[in-house]
Amino acid sequence: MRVLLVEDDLQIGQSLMRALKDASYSVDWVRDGVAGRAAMDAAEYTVVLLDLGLPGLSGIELLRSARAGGNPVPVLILTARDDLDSRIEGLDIGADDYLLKPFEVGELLARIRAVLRRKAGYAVSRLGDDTISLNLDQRTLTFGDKVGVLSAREFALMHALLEHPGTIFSRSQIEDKLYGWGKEVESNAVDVLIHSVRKKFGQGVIRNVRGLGWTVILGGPAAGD
Amino acid sequence: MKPSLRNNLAIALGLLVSAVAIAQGISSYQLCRAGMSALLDLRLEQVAVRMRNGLAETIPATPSRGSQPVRDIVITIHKPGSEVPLRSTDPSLQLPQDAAGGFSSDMVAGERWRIYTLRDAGMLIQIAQRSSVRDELERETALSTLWPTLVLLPLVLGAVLLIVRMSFRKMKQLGDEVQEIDASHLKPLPSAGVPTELLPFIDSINRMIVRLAQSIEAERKFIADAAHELRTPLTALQLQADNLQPHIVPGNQERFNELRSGIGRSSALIAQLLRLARADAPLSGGTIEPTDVSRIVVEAVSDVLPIAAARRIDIGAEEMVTDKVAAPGADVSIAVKNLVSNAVRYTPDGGTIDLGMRTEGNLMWVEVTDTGPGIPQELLPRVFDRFFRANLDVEGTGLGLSIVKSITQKYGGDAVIRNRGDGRSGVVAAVSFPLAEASVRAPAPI
Repeated sequence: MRVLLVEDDLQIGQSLMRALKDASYSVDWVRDGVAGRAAMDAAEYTVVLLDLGLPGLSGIELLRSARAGGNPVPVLILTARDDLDSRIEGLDIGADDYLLKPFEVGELLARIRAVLRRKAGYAVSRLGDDTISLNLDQRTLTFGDKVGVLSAREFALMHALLEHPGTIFSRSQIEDKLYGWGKEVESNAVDVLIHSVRKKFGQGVIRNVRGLGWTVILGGPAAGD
Repeated sequence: MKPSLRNNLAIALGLLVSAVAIAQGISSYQLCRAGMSALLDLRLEQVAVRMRNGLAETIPATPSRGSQPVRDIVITIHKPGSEVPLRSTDPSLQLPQDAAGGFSSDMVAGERWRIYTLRDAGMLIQIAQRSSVRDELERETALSTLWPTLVLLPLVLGAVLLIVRMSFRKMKQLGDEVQEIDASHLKPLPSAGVPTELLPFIDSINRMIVRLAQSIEAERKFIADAAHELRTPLTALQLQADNLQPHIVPGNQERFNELRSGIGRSSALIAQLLRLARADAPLSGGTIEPTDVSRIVVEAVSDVLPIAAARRIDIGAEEMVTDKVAAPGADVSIAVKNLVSNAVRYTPDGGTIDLGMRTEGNLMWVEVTDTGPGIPQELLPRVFDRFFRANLDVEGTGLGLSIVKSITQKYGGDAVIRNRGDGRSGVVAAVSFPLAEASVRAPAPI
């Protein structure tokens, strides 16, 4: 796994080198845009970590010229600029992700892994995390120590909720996802469905948010009950 | 009363016009009377000349007594040496025969008469007219010349007031525009169509506006640049700490965590400083896409839900409104999320946070009510000040509410914080944004 680090700040560069090496990446570090372009032309990298405020050639220009030259290498922008415009600009000209300084090493490594996974077209056959997960092949839900097979409707419900964990879905949003537009749905259909899932896995599996709807929280404290 | 150019000018012009009208009235009255008097005299003289030319015979020798109208002139003709007039239109009237030639005024039979005496070839021709009749004629004619002035005076006064008012309307407009100027609306005043007398003021105000805008922009830019520059060393510090982590012995882990939370706090402060600098930036113009606030409220609750759940805080919404507001989603989101995250930080474990939305006039309000400790009443006015923190036990930068205030006011809304009025402890924090024009009222989903 070869990483190109384009970063002009000495301290950040040194620290990132160490962190990436600790995580078993081999790292090439250049400190300006021109050297960055030369490196990208010369070698094939698994991922490029790109600072935007570079001397010589700015990160945006470097990325633009790389993409114009047909270089498909995954690029993760590291920047101190957090205004919406520069974020949109970075992503628009072909960055794969955007990390705002200051960031933690753990997050950087996770983003690198995510970018690589997306590039590899890795299909998730599992939604969720250790506390709650939905197996898409076997249609089973694991919540704490309970594992169970879901009915088609229950599976659709949990799939909708776990696709965007933490997002609150209103009743009408869930109905749209489960039954399609314009279908007549019995007023308590969603309640019945949620009740049946809770009956199998416990009250904490789907959280009620008063007045707003329902959600599933990953790593939730009530995972065991 | 404060001096007013408009009133001064109107009063001065009004007085001047009135004075001119009065002077003109008096002089034309006098001139007209004099002219009329001369005209009447001329008539007496002409009649006398005609009598001399032999018209005297047309007067009956013995006119019927008292038949002559009071207003008419009296003609008397004497032969020399005769006491009884040869001819007279009113023989009862004894005009003084010793009168000098020409015009004279005499009392005859208890009345004042104007008499013209002509001596010619021994004949004494006297033409007389009552002074009272002449006076009346003169007065009537002279008074009639006053009518145009009397009619025109009020019209001219009205026109003066109108012209003064119209001339000052532009000034009033400019005054209104000057009053609109504040830190978030620093637009130069228009100089087109402005009277030249006002141009120096406009120019000077505009120069001041430009300088003010520049200095506000410079301050904002400095904050943004400083925050930006601080991020680089902070990033290095964060990474160095992270790299150290695997080498920290378990006994030092707690101290190490304190160090990391210190770094986190600095990062949060810098992020807030940048946000504040951005919130303080003036509107750049352009159209604003209407924002669905209910979506942002749901998002804000989603964001804090894991923490709220872990701390058994019951967070929920009371009333949702689907109207849209005229402010960018990113800014509305910062404001709403700030209030919600404050509520979560200050609400003790097991507490309750209620969100509510309502429209009032042309504003949409989002209210966040918590069951925290509340804020001492005397500190409430200061909660929106930069770096002010009412409660030092809970971590914070003291910038969140300043950002909220800046953002809401930028779009014509407001931010308000008050203690709960229902006897429970806690605060009600509310932000408002102006409703978008084409906001449709519809029942909230769920």
